[in-house]
Amino acid sequence: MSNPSKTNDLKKNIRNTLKNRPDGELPYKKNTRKAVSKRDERAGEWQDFSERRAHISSRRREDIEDLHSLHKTLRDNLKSHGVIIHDAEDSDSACRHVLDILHKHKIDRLLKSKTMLSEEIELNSFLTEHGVTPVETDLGEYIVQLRGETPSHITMPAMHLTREDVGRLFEEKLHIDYTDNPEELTDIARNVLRQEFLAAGAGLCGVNFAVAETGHIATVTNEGNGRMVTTLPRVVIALMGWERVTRSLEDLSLLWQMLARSATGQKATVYLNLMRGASPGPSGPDEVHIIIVDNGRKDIYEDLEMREMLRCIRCGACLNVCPVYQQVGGHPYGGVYPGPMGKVISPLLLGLDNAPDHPFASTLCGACEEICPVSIPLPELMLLLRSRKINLHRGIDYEAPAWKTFEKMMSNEKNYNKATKAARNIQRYWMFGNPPIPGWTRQKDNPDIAPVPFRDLFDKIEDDQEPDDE
Amino acid sequence: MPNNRKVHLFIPCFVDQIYPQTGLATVKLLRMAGCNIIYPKEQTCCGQPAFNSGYRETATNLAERFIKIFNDAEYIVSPSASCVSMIKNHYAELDLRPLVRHEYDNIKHRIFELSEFLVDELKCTDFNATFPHRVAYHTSCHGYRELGIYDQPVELLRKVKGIDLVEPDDRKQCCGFGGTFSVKFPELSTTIGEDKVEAIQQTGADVVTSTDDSCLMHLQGLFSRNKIPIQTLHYARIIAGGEALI
Repeated sequence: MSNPSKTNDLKKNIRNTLKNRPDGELPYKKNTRKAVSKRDERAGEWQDFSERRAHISSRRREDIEDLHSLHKTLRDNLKSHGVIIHDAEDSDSACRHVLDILHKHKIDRLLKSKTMLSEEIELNSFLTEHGVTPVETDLGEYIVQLRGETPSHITMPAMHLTREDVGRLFEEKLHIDYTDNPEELTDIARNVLRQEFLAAGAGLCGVNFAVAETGHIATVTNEGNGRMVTTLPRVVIALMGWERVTRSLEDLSLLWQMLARSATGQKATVYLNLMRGASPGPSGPDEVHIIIVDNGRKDIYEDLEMREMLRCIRCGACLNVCPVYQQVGGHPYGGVYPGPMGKVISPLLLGLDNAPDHPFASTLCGACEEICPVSIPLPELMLLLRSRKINLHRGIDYEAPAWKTFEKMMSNEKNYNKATKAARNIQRYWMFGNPPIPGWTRQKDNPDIAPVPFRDLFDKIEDDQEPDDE
Repeated sequence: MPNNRKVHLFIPCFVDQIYPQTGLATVKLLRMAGCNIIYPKEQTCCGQPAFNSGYRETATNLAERFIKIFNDAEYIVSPSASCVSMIKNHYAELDLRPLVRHEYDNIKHRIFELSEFLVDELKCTDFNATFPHRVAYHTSCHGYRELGIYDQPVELLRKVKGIDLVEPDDRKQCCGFGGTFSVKFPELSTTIGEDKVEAIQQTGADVVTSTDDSCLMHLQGLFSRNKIPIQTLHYARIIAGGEALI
């Protein structure tokens, strides 16, 4: 059983992952490419896709710009529907709010629907340490929880596994006969989880968006577990990232359609759960809490170069289309958020010191920006973070002298000619084929420096006006 | 095709040193299209490697140097989409001195990747080349996503007699080069490249072409190490040189 990488040494994690990749088709490579082609098909159905994308991007940009005032409106509306609001500055205070609510009601088992924020604040391990059992009810989350792993993807938590992996897992953990039939596996999980739902005292869900003008708490799911988690238990807790506010139901509708198309290539998700406060009696919970979690988001808001990152609606499309993610899956990134959005948001949430290689682990191909439903310029943000990392480690940076030399060589034609001539001589007199270039020649041959550079050839052809081809 | 346009040639450093034939082909095509060529000898590197590695001061110094050298150009043309995008798009993200920024604003609309210039500006597409090979066209990410270049080189290549132009299945997928990425994450860069190599092999092509010698350098390294008999050639060389190349 593969254990998720807890270390943030991305370079090492990637190297190890590539070294230990099994033969045959890799589930994350297959599943990401399938998701992209479904997404492309759905996007193609909208003739005016780029106009819609531009419109949604600008609506979402306005949401973020107006975040402080939207929060005021939202709070008033949540309160008027009897929702109890808690503010959490960081992971620890968010976890404590959850625990306090459970303690008050003497509940020691918490049903959860999928929420990446609960992964970010490491809620499960906190609760376990404090005597509460968290139970994941999203099938993918349930599978990774049984394996003792974290999700490898923000919308498809178990996408690094094959159905055979899941079959063997259920056989071992649930003591049933092996099957790798997806329907049978789903039925098995459903039967186990149904008992949990009926006995549950408290449920916790994530929040895709909270609607400021109406006070609706919106959760997007495909399995129906989100609805059960927020209707069956007496106490319901919604865990929301500070930036997840949108203005109106109309905006929610736009965002929902874009989210579904981008994430899974669906026109709409199977469920869009709208919760609006407590409804004591048989039809809903007695108490609804919302915990609004900052955990670094307000700093991103204040960081004008990075504020755009708060637009992210966590669709996961940038993971699916990323040539790096496709090769290594999500676990090597450490932390919670993998892929291109993770390369930007992890250094921002954890600090660049704790994720120094993240912004560098990209070819800058731009596929992430192209697919992003809210037009976040991810490569540009990665480039900015690269330069911040260099400035942060100024003085202890072993690369810096090389770049100084580079600059000197490129700042002056004479230096350039001298340096390239030296390189040409090294190549010419190297005794064993081509001289090795660190990081290049282990797996591929290096290019030959031409015997005569263009600048000298140009002199020869300049007069006769007919370039020689050989 | 006389047009008497004055064109400043930008031959990126690695093309100058490793792929001078691409530079010569560029000169030949521009001259066939009737341009007068100016090649400022002081030019070196546009600064992209430093910029992508996070060394913005170095990149800014090299950018300011570039802008000064090409300041009075009417047109700047280069056979490398990635370097053109560095100048056209990313120089804007640098902290240039106000005076230089003003000069930059003047030149940034006058810089073109070669095929953009030939097809969109000069409307020259037929250079009477013959190249009887199956050629796979590799889309460069920076050309396609940062400059919107796709139709122009394909149009030029379609005019070549005898060519069988094909594309790998994953045509929008990166080759894995990524400049200094290929040195920082060598195994990853190679692994991504191997998928591209496989997709190219499946086309049955014996030549791969692109707008960027940088992608081709990475792919050629993999072909040659794995003894795969596919040759990489910048499209300018195919159009300027034709049959004589192989």
